[in-house]
Amino acid sequence: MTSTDVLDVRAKAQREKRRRRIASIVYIAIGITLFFVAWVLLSLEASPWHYDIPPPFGAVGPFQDILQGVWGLFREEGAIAHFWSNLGTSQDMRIKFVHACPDLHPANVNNPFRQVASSLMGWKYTSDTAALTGGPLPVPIGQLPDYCYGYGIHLIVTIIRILLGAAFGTIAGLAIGLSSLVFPKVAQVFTPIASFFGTAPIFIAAPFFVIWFGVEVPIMTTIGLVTFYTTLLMYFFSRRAAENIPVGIVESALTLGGTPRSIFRWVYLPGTVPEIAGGFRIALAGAWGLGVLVEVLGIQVGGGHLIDIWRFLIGQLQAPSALVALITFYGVLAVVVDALLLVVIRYLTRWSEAGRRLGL
Amino acid sequence: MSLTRLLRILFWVGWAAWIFGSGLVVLAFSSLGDWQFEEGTLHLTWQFISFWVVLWWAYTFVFRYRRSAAAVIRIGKGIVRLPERILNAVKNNPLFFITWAVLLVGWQIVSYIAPKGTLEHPLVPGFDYIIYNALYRLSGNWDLFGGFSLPGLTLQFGELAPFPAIEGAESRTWTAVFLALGFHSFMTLSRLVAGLGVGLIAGLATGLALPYWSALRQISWAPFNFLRMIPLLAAIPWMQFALGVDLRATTLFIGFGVWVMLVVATMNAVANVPDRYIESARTLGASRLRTYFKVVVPGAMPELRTALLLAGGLGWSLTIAAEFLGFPTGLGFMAAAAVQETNTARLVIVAIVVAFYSLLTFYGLNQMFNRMVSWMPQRVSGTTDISKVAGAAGAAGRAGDQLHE
Amino acid sequence: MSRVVSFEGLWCVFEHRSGQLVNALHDVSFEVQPGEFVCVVGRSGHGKTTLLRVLAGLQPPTAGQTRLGDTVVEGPGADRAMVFQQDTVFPWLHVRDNVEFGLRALKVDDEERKSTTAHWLDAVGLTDFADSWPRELSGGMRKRVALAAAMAVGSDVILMDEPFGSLDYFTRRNLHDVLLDLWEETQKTIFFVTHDIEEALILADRVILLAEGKLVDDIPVDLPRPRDEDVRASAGAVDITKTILAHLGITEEEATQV
Repeated sequence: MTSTDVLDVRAKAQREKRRRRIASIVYIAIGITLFFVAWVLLSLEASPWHYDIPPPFGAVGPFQDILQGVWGLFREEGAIAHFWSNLGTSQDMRIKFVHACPDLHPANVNNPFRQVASSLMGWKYTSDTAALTGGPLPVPIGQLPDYCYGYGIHLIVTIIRILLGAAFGTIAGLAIGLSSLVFPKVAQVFTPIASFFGTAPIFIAAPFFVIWFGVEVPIMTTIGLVTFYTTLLMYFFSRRAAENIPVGIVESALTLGGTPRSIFRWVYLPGTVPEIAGGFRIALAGAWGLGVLVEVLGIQVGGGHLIDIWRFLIGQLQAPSALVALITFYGVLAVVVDALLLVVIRYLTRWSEAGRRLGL
Repeated sequence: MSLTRLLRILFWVGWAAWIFGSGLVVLAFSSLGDWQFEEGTLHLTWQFISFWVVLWWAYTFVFRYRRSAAAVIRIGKGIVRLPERILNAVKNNPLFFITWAVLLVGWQIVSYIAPKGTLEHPLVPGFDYIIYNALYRLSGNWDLFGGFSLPGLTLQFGELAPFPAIEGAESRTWTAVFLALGFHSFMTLSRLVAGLGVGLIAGLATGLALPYWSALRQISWAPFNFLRMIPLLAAIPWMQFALGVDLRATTLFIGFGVWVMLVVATMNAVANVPDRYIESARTLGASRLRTYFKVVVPGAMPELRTALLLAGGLGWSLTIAAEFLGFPTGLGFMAAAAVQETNTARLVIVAIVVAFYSLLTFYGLNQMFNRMVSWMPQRVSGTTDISKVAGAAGAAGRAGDQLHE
Repeated sequence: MSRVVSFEGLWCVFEHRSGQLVNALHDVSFEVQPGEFVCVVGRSGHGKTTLLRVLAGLQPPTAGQTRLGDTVVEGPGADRAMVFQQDTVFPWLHVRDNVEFGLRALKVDDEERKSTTAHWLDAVGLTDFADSWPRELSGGMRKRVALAAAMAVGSDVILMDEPFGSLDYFTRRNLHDVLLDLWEETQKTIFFVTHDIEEALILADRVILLAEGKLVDDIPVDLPRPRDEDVRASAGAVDITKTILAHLGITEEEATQV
């Protein structure tokens, strides 16, 4: 066999490799297209869910919209268009439900930062609050600037609350879970509690947080529930991750003269990262829904509250668009955050087979 | 071999037939329970139902008397040995019980010192309040005035216990409390079972079918992974708008959630079946289809345990949350009613009941799973108690420190 | 019935994780007569397993072809059953069902299937364990199950990829005896991949030496059987060992340069 033949063989292998890579991209593209096709089909007039499912894009005329450019797709009514036009400022919110405006305290209204801060707490300043606390009267609706009206501020505060809750819960869960490796008594105390609360559907804890915190410290409704939930999950995941470290490795570390401290630092801590990281992804994916739903139940500012409002205005023309748009937003948000997490996790677990497999 | 199989099939066919047969027997003896047939609807009483259930299960006792007797004896022995077992458990793991005792006593103490609030009910109710006040008042949820209706069938329960909602607070009874809990549990469980059943079957079927074709697997990857990430709890308000509030709606909704989750989990499990099994089967001459059903499917099962349990948890969450947000019956509704009255005590009761049921669900799913994979080696990694090793590490470390000193 | 196995200009190019292309097989050609016991020897990562996987039809070659008699190998099939290095006994099937697996796939009728299975279970000495789960067996016993399953499908060629590599010395010696008995009884062609020269001397009619994917030598082993300690200590055996070691030594230097 000559050297040209060798080159031929190698070129063939390379072509095959490229073909597979392109094919997988094409398949993913087909999948995404099919998803939108299914969505459009479900929203057509012939579909039984015509009134419940808005089309993802505006009604696309075959010719005009193409002439208007791709932007035409997003302009008319449709879930994406609705979300976009209500994100910063919202005519719907201004006209239909002024009470959705987060804060009408004069000192806050012209200060976006204080606006976000008080929205984050979930406090609302209304004429009732003014009468109760003897504060200044709330600003009349006509004088309000636009920025306090859109979906944006509600969604941002919800995201911050949920991330805070997840962070607290992760710290607590890992602290308990990992310390139980060094102090077995901790595990004996916590495992029964955690497995009791862990088996019950966590949603049943939501009403407690609503009753206990909903009125006085509303922020704790979301943060508290998400923290509770994340603590439980991260406790389980850290325990399981440690259990899956082969005993042989720990024993080998012992024979090498490892102290509890050094074994914890150099064996347990890095060894549990892949599973703990995977667990965190699962916990966070669940936290979005939980955090939003508890806001639906009883907190006056936040993304969940938007869903609650549209729930009661369900007869309105825009309601399906609004609900579907908000739900889709949380889905996209979860996917984006998950993708970011994946990048970080891949870096942290680059030594591990399981870590590499996380990325599929 | 084949005779026993035939007998077993006969037994179950007879069992299924007897469900109706026993009903007809009871109908024939009208003295056993009043029944009427009006305008295409059958009106039955609770006596009828109880006789029917007794007759229905009598079949099992008659045809499998040995097994049934063994079961009865086993249960009896279990009850007799219960105190001994509890005592042993306390001896083996005292911290478990101490923890729980501390938690419960702590709650009671907190209930005395916590602020009462301006509300009718205490924010942290003591167990006395929970049992004698809230639990007793649950009889108010016994409100099946019109009976329980299915298409073509109405069950009357009025004679069992008076309805306090109509007859006033004096007619509260403990019977009504348990009837209320039973009825609402039944509603929740039926919604859960329908949704979970549809979701499990559809999810396993889809998840096992898609990876058979490599193209389909790759195409479905993106849509399913997006659907999986949608927070379904947040979608409940829209679901009730789009699907309504009935059994069909909850079945579709819970089924959808479980389906999406299981499809992704099953596809992952299939992808993780070791290649060597597949290759071995192929070199032994098995066709692709055969390899798939005999090797890939059973090989994927062990990884599905967690997915099954998670599906159970998801089903429970979706059911309770959906009921909370707009159904007039079910445990979720009871929780919502409790929040309306800011009645924490009632909430505690509902939470305990729900926790109990979901424990049972997990146990059941686990048992079902264990039957499916009886070939599986016992878990090796999980049985090693790492805390003991960590304790050993501690002991060794301390010994080492002393040596250094 | 038995057919000549021929490899014709086989190339196999793989992509390394770094994106680099590697020749797992580099223009390999040779023929094997029916009933031969061939050991493929080489250092790990030098193409032994790839050669076997190509013959099994699990790995399409980048260029060249493999033929069994007149038919070109295009995919896996029961005419080339394989015993793997790892544990491939299906843990979800009883031992008996594992041995029957291939026969069921071939749709052999019940009577014949049962008698064949019983025969091979007896041949590997596992009749008493027919109804056990694989998890209840030792590693060596599981290997016997895999061997019985491969023998039972009645293929002309048996492929064995370091099958006894993970077993202890005594179990391995025992399985060599079992394998040689089966081979003498059935006269099947056997391809046996190993990195153990002693194992090759015990088993092989012929040793194929692979280095960096190239066929570097084809050594006939015409020692008398049974190959007990004396035979392996004879001058002929020592010569063969030296030849093999010499080849591997040369390639070792080349390998360190890469």
